[in-house]
Amino acid sequence: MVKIKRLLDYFTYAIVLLGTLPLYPHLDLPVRLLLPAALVAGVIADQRERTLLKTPAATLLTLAFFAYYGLTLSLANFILPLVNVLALLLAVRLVTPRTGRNTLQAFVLSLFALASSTLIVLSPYFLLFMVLQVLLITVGLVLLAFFVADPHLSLSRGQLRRLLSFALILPVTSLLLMALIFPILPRTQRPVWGFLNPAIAATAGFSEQVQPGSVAQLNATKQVVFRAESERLPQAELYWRGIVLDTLRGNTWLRGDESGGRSSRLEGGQPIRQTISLEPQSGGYLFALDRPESLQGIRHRSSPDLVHHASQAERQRVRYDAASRLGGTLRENGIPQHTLLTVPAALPARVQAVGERIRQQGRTVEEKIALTEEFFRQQQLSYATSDLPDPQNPIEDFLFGKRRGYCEFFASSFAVILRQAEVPTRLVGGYLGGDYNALGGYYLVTEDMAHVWVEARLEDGRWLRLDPSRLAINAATAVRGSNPAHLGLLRQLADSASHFWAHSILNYDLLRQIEILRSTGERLQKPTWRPQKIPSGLLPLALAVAATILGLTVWHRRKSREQRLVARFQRLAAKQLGLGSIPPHIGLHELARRLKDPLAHEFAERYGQAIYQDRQLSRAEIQELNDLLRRMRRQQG
Amino acid sequence: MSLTRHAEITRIIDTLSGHYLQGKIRAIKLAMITLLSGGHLLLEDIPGLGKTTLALALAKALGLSFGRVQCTSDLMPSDITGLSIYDRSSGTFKFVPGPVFNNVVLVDEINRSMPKTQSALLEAMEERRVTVEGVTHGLPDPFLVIATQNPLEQVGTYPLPESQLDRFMVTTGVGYPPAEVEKAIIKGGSLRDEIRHIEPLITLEDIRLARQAVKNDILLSDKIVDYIFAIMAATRNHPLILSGISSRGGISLAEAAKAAAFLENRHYVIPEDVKLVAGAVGAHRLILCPENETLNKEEVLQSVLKSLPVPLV
Repeated sequence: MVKIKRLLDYFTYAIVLLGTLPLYPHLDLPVRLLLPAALVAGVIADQRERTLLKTPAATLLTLAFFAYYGLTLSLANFILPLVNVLALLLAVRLVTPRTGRNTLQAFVLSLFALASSTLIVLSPYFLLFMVLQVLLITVGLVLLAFFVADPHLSLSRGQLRRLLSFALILPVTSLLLMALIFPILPRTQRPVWGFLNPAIAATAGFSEQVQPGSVAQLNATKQVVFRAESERLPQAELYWRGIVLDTLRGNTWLRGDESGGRSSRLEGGQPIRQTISLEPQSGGYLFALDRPESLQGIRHRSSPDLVHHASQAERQRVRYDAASRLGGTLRENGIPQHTLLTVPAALPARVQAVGERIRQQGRTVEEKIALTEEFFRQQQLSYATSDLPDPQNPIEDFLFGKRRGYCEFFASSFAVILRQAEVPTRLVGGYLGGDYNALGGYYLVTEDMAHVWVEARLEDGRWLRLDPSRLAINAATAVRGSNPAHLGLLRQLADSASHFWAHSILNYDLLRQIEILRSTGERLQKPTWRPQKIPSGLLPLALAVAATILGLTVWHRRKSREQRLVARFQRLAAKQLGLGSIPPHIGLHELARRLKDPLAHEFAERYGQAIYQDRQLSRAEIQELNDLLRRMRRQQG
Repeated sequence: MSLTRHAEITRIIDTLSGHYLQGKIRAIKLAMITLLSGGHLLLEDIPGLGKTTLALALAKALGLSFGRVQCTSDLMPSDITGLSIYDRSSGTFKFVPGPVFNNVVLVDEINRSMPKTQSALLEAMEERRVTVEGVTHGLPDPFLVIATQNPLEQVGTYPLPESQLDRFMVTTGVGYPPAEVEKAIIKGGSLRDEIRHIEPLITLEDIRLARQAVKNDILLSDKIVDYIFAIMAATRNHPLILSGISSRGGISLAEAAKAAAFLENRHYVIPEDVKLVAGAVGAHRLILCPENETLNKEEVLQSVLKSLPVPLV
C-alpha cells in the first residue's frame, strides 16, 4: 500500500526542482542557498510529519520578500527580481503545511518559475523540462484531487498503477497534440518576450574597431557566434569575413565612409555555399566564408569590399545562405588612395625606419610584402593573449619590446609598416577556424576565434589576403585556425541538438511556415523523385526491412488478444514450475492450482468468466488481466 | 452471486467428509454429482471399504428414504420391485412395494444377481417406474441407485454387460482411506450407529431446487461442448478402444460436468470440470479391444484426455 500523501510529496519535490533548476544559476546568492535548504527542511519535516512554518508567518515572510525585491524593480531590471521572488515563494511553500491549497500553489509557482526561465535563456533543455513538468503536474493534480478528498488515503500497487496510467493519458495526448499543432499554428515574426531580451553585445573577440593595446589582457569566451553548415574545408581556408577596416585614426582602425562611386568585381575561385545561423549580436555584420560574393534569405546591404550588413538590427538568431568564392580574385575601384596609406601621426621612429627601408628596397608590392614578412620573422614575435605590450606605445613595444601580442597587434603593425612602405592596406575582421561538427554537418564558430588579418592591394588592383599572425614563432600551436578542436561525440550531439532547437523551434516563424507550405505544394505538383538517385543497395534493404516489419506484425496479429494473454500466463507459470512449456492438456484453473498463487487463481477465474461463457473479453478485463500478469511477473522477480 | 442451494449441498459434503466418511471426499462428491444430475452410481471396490456406509450416510444426510437390496444369485426381480399379496381379510390383492420404492436404493453386489433381476433393476433405473402385474408404479423423486460390485470376485457372478453399465452415470471406487484416517477409524471403531442418527441437513425441496439449478442455471459453452465431443471422438478413434463413449455417455459427461461446476459455485462449466468427471463418467462405457482387456479403462481414458488440448480461447 502506498500513502497518497507521501506520493504527492515526492511529486511536489520533483515539480519544484524542475521549475527552479533552469533558474538556479541566475538567482541571487542568498536565494541560491535558501532554496535547497528549504527543500531539505521540507523533506525532513514531511518525513517527520511536522510543520516548520505556520501560515501567518509564511504570509509575513512572503510580503517581506515582495517588499525587498519590489524596491529593486525597474523597467530595465525586472526579470531577475521576478525570478528571485518566484524562487523564494517556492521556498516558503516547501516549509509550510502540506495542504491541498499550498500544494496547488507550489505547482503553479513551479510552472511560472520554469516559464520565467525562458526570459533569461532559451536552451533546448527547456523543452525537456517543460515536457517533464507538464507530465508531473497533470498527474500531480489528479493525486491532489484524491488527497483533498481523503488525506489519509492509501492505494494498493494495482490501484496506483491504474490511477497513474489513467492520469498520464491527458498530458501525453496534449504533448502529442502540441507536436502536431506546432508547425501549423500561425505565429509572429518576433518572440513574445523579445523586447525583454536586450541584444547580446559581442563583449570579447569580434569588434567594430581595432585598437591594439586597448586591453592589457584578452579574455575570449567560448560563446557561440554562428554555425555555418557547409562542406568540410581545409582548416587554413576558414577565414570568416565580417568587417573591413580601412581608416586609421590615431592608433584605432575604423570602417571608413562606404559612399562614393566604388565598385568591385569578384572572379574565379572555388564556389562554396554555406548556411549560416548567426546568434543574436549587436553589430549587424553578417559573416561568411572569405570571400563572400552574395547572401540570400536576409535583408541586408552589401559593400564593394564584400562586407555585408543586416538592414535592421536583429534581436534574434538569423539564418541566411551565403555564396563565397574560396581564393577568388577581388578587384575594387574608387577607394581614395590616401585612405589606404594613412599612418599614425606619432609613429615611432623605429617603426617608421623599418617601413622606410622596405619602401626603398622593395620595387614591387610583392617584394615589399616579402620584406615585411621577413622582418616579422626576424623579430621572433610570439602570439599571446597575456602580458601584452604597453598601451601607450603598442606597435613599437610589440615589435621591439615585449614582442608578444595577439592578432590585432600583428595585423595593425604589419599594415602600418606596409602603408609606410606605400602599399595600400586595410584590416579585415572576422573569425578564423571553426570546429566541424560531423553530426550536424556544420562549423561551430565561437567568440575566441575572432581574428584580424590584413589585405594588401597589388599594382593591378587585386586585393591579397595576408595573415601576419602566422608569422609568429608559435603560430602552429597558438593560432586558432591551425589547430582545430576535435569535439567529442557527446559535445557534437549536444551542440547539434542546440542548433536544431535554435533554427527549428525558436526561429520557426510565419515566413518559414509559408515557405514550407509553398515548397510542399511545389513538390506535390512536380514530383522530383527519381529512382536512379537511390543507392543500389538501399532499395532491397528497405524492402527487406518493410517485409520483416510486415511479417512480424502479421505473425503477432494472427494471435488473438486472448491467445496472447494465455501465452503470457503459461510462460510465467512454466517459469515458476521450472518447465520448458505448459502441456496443452493442462487448463488454466488446473495450472493455477499447481502454482498455489492467488494471482494466478484470480487470472484463471477472470479469464474463464468470459471465455467459458462464450463472450469476448472487454477492454477493462484485458487491462485487469494484463495487470495481474505484470504483478505475477514482479512477484517472480 | 451464489447458485440456488449451493451452500446447503456444500454443507452436506463438508459434514460427511469431515466427520462420518473421512478420506472419501472424492466418492462423496461423485455421489452428489450423480444425485444432482439425476444419474445412478456404481461403486466398484472390494468389501469393507465403506461403500454401504457411504450410501447410508448420504441418504440420512439428505433426509431421504433408504432401501437396501443384498443381491444373491437367487434374487428375483419381485424381491426388488415388490409384489401383490392376497389379503384374505379384504379378499383383494394388495401391492407391497419393494426396496426400490425409496429415494436412495443401495444394491449391494449387483453382479451376484442373475441377469433377469439385473435387467429389472436397470429398467427401473432408466424408466423411473416399475410395472408389477400390469400395474405401473412411479418411483419417488429423487431416485438414486447406488450399486456396488467387487471387481475381483468373478466366481458365481454375472458381470454387467457394457450396454447395462452404460445406465450408470458414474462408476467409481472408494479406495483405502489415508493411513492417518484409517488409524483413527481403527481407534474409534465403526460409525455405523452414529450414521443411523444423522439428522437431515437438507429438505427434499432443496434437492429439487439444486437439481433445477444444475439443469437451468449452469452454462455449457460451445467451447466445452466441442471439448466433450473431442473426447468422445478421440475414444472412438483410439487404437486400444473397440467402442468409445456413446451419445448417452456424452450427455452424461455434460450433465456431470455441470453438476461439478455447481459444487464449485460456478455459473459455467470449465474444462477442468469435464476432466474431473470424465474418468468416472466415461471409463466404464469403453469397450477395449480383446488384446487390451487387461488394461485399466480409467487409465486409457486419462491418456486420451492427455492427448487433447483444452480449449483456452
